[in-house]
Amino acid sequence: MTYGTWFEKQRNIIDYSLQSLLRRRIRNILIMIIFILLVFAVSSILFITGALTREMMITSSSLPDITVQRIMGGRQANVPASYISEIEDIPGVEAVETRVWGYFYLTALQANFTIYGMDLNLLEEGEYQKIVNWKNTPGHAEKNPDFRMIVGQGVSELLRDIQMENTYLFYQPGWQKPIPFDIIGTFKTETELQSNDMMILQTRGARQVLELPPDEFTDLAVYVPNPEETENIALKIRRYFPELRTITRAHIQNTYSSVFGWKSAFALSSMLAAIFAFLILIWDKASGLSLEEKREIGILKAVGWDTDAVLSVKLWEGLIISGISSLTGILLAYAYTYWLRAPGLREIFVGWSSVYPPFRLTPDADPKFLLLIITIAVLPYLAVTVFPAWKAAITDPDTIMRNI
Amino acid sequence: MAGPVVETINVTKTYNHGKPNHVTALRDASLQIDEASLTVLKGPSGSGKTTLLSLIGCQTKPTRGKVTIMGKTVSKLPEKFMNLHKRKHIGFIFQHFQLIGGMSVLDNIVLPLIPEGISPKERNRRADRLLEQFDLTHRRQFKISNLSGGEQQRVAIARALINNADILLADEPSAHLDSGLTSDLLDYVRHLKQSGHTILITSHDPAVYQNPIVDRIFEIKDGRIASS
Amino acid sequence: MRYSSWLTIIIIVFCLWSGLTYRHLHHRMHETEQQMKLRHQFQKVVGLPNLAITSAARYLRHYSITDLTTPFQDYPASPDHFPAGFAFAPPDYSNMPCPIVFGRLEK
Repeated sequence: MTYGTWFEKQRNIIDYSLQSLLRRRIRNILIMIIFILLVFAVSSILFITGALTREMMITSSSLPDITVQRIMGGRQANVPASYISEIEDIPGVEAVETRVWGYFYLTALQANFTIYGMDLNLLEEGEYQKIVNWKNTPGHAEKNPDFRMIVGQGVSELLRDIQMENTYLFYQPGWQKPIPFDIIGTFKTETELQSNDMMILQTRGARQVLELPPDEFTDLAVYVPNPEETENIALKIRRYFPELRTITRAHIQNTYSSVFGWKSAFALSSMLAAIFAFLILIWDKASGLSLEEKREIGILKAVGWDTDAVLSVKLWEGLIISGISSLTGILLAYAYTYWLRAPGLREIFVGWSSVYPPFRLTPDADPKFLLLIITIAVLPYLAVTVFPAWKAAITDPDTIMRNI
Repeated sequence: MAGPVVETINVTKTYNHGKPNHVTALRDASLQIDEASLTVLKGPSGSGKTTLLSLIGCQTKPTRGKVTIMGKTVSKLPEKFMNLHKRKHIGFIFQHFQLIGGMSVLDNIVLPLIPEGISPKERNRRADRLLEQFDLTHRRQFKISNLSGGEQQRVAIARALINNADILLADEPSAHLDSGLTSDLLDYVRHLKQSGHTILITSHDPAVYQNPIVDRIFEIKDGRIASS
Repeated sequence: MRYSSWLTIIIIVFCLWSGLTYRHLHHRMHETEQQMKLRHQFQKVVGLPNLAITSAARYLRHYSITDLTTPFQDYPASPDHFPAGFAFAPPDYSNMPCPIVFGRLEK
């Protein structure tokens, strides 16, 4: 009798395993479908959570170290200019920047915009020039230097719809007359995740639109060069001025990391049905082999198969099902999240907005995550496929035959 | 080969040894079987003849005693080597055939060859030869569950012969066959004996053990070999 | 064809698919690096946190820094739409270091 190589033996065993899987094809196809759906759903949720969190974290290092707000009667109030020098005097504080910003609701468009006041000359010169697509309309900018603005893409498109892409009239009930602003540029699409619903106005004009009294500011941005000192200085500000509220960059980053955490948990919990189906499947397999399967193992041993050959078959069966299912689930989840932009799931995570940036999520594929998915999907399935078979495989064929 | 091809020396088999529900199926059984002979183990059901056959067929190990096949003491070998020896020398035909219902005739026949690493081409070649010999070529791709009792019997025999075994063991081969098929079976057995195989059959069917081709009969009663 | 050959073909298909996916990932990561510079600059100019992905309400648009009395503002990381402390008291975040997230976090 000629004996083949180890490779040929493994190939034969793989052939037999596949044949065995195909003999119970309906059942195995159903198992694979459940498996793929589960891995797909979990992976999609983790991909989108990771990607959105990453989007937020990417620029968080450029945020101010401490944001200072004033609280009056439990609500946010304007910060008077007198606080500036007092905070600047705290050792460790490098600079205190005043901020003028707020919201503006456009009834006509049912859209809420964020208004931010700053000196637009800073953007016109230097390195920040690159973040804007400037409009070249000569003569216009000189008209009202205090009433110029740069808008985000989303705003620009909405204004174009109402034929106000060059000049916009701000108006609130109670104002004597509307305030016109010239739009001198739009922010580049690369910044749309942050700038999409923003209108950056020249400070003086912004104050008028936001009805902010002179010498008062919305909040303060405090810069602390030594990161170890940030919390101490925030504490000092709160101690010296109990009416002030401090928010450090670390706080903001913590908030970022948690906001999608609970949403993803919510989405995962809505998959309870699929999770239960999978657990029942695992339990069914783990509780032992069927009579038919036991008999088959008995026959294999009786015709001369070694225990390790029998277990190899079971291992390959488990590996093929769980491996192919996991991989398919993960790859489909990637395509769904990053090619198709997660239709359906995105709305759950991102929420409602009338000024919606059509952003593409940056893929966040951490190898640790993929290893996690494989560990929790493949290994238990392998265990529940191989271990019940092991008991039958080490039994004498004679004993198996007698008990069937 | 000089000397007996199969020898058992005082083999005892106790199931659930050491437990309260232990059963001694076989006690101090000793026999010798010569090459190219047809031996029958005769006895009522529950007498231990299947147990003795299982011990000789390396399906289980004796609690005490020794089993020697082709000069090698298999009862002391580790499982891997015992299986190797079994695959090389022994073909077993089970009482209820023990075929895998969902698989085809061809796949059932080549089952013992799969862990050997033999290519499908070679496996099929050997199987086709046996299919022709047992007139099963037209049933090559049929599922076992679609075959008659007699056809299943022939498939079981073909599977036992696929590895060119020298020794054939059959447990109650005529149990599920009518007289016509039993007669066909005995024809196969005669042919196999003539081609040099050593055959050991358990049976309580007189049509089998009273047949003139039988060389020797061992009678087993209550787990002991009563006479030969 | 042997079953194992079919499996080999399936594995090759998966390798190709994974390769395409990796290529897409690599391409997009490269694109992002160029994007990031502009985004960092914007962030430096306009130091407001939170992405412009929902502007339904103040406390959703700038949830990190909105009022005390608005949901999400009793403490950082309180879930929006639920009052903080409805199940358990908020933890003390005053001295918490930066969180661990998927992917690289820049310091």
